[in-house]
Amino acid sequence: MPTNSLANLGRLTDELMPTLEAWGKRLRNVDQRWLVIGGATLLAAAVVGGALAVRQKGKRMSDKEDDKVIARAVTVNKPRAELYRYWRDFTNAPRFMEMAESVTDSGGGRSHWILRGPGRKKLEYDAVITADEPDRLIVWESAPGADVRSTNRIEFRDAPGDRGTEIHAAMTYDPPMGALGKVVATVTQRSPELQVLRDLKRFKMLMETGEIATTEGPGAAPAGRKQKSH
Amino acid sequence: MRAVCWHGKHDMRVDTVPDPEITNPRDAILKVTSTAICGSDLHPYDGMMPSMVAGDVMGHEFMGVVEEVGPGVKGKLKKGDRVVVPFTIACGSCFFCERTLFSCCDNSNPVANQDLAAAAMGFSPSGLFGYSHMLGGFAGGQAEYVRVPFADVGPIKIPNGIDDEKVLFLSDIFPTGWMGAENAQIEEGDTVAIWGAGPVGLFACQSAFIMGAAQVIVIDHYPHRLELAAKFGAKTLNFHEVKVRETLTEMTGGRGPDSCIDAVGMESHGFSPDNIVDWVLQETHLGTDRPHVLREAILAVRKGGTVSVPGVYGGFGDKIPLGAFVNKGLTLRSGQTHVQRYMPKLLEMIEQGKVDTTFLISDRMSLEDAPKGYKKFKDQQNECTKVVLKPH
Repeated sequence: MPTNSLANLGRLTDELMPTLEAWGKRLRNVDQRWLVIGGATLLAAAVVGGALAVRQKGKRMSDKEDDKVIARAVTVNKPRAELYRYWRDFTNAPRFMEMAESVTDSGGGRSHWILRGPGRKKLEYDAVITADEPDRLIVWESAPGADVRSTNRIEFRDAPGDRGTEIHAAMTYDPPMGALGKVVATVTQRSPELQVLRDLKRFKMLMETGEIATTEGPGAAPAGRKQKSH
Repeated sequence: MRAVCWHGKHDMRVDTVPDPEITNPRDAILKVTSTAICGSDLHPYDGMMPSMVAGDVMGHEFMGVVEEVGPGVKGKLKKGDRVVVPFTIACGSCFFCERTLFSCCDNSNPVANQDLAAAAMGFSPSGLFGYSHMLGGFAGGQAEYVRVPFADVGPIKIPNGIDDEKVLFLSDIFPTGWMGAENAQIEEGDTVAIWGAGPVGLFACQSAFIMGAAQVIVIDHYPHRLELAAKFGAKTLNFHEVKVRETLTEMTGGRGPDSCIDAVGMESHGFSPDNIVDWVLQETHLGTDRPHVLREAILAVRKGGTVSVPGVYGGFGDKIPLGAFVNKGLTLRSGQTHVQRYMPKLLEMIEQGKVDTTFLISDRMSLEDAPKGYKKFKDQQNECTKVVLKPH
């Protein structure tokens, strides 16, 4: 857990800003004032908090100062082994990871990932599994020389009572283009902090219900929006 | 298809919008035969509900005939089935659905929308039909057709021979009134006070008697609505004519009601200083809800009593009497209705004639007249108790 409260605020800002900004652009009427006041306050905090580094207490997942560590958890109402099996097959990743377009298994713990990057760029890289404890833990990281540096750790723990399985995900993310890339990512709503929890929730939906709730598209959620002319 | 769309404060329009399509395997497409305007629809109508977007299709009280089912619904529903659909969307297999807390479903609000709800509330509740993007951005049922997710969990089949109007309110207001009364923890011989003689309050009133209340006191200011409550055997108070708390205390031999039900929610009336401050806060968007009724209920209820809140609140309320809550040892219970939990039992009660559901409908109109319906429901609340729309 970060020890610096301003860093906390910076992280909170980073998480909320894309949501607030995106909604601020889309909403009419009474809500805009609420969002602008809230957004302005958080933006001021972001200027201060954004400059500070975030470290995970205890385990250091990364040696680089610039790397952020994002840790999120979700509880899934299914047995640990079933969830580990599904996650371990990385070719399933595009089904619930929004940024993953395709993943191929290259054998020997290596996989090839194609991601939708910030600004609709595509990022391709090879990944290597560095830890694999069946039904418990998977750690994989981008191979040396990859365009994207990332380390991902997924831990599967029994949840208390009959709640199923807790999935604890931690990842480091060194975005392409460094700080600039991060700003772009945030503005396009593909910030890593939001993305990790969203992907975990999509995984949960897929495992518990067999599908992922959506209201994307006119067939899924018809509305009386003005059609853009071509 | 034609659909009722929100376009801003006091601006409901009927637009031509795309037809819904099967998107996920457990979807069904419903042809809507009857749909109602809810008291809580008036909050978006009044511009009070955050995260609405111009063009959103309204409506969460609806029923109809199944037109198409996705491959995941197999066996549970088929084309031609006549169903009433709960206003909350539930997956049936998460922690909350398994415990019949359906309106807390983890999996029905799309993840991007959950961010907004979680920012406001801590964690996201279930998705709702036609009730803002914070709760999913699902198109509602004030339309010719509607896509129903998890159609193998929510919709309840209605036998032939029962009129739409008898069962339509299973979608929301009847279970809401029932759960409001259930949350009041009523025991045999209790006195129950209910603020709000709208549809939910009136169903709560019927339910409270069924649950063993010896005395039910309904509070409102519309004479016709109070008359409806009186027909069910309730005593009625008009808050323009009497001091509510003092009268409640007298009527209960100095004790206070055993349970109080707030069936009013975030847009309460009343010309008390606290409500006027709330009004100002609401208009300047610094506070959002007007919890005058909740405050009054907490102060009026007897020591050790229960306050049940089916009335809808969306944001934050100011100056709740926490001292009274703590020192009187109260219980506060609430929730968006777990409709799926109650539907079978309440359908049975309708079939057995134990509950009257048709008394409420004051206006019937075509979908095209919905904007007039909204205006009447808002402006003429004495005569207009419920508006039912017929899209076909």
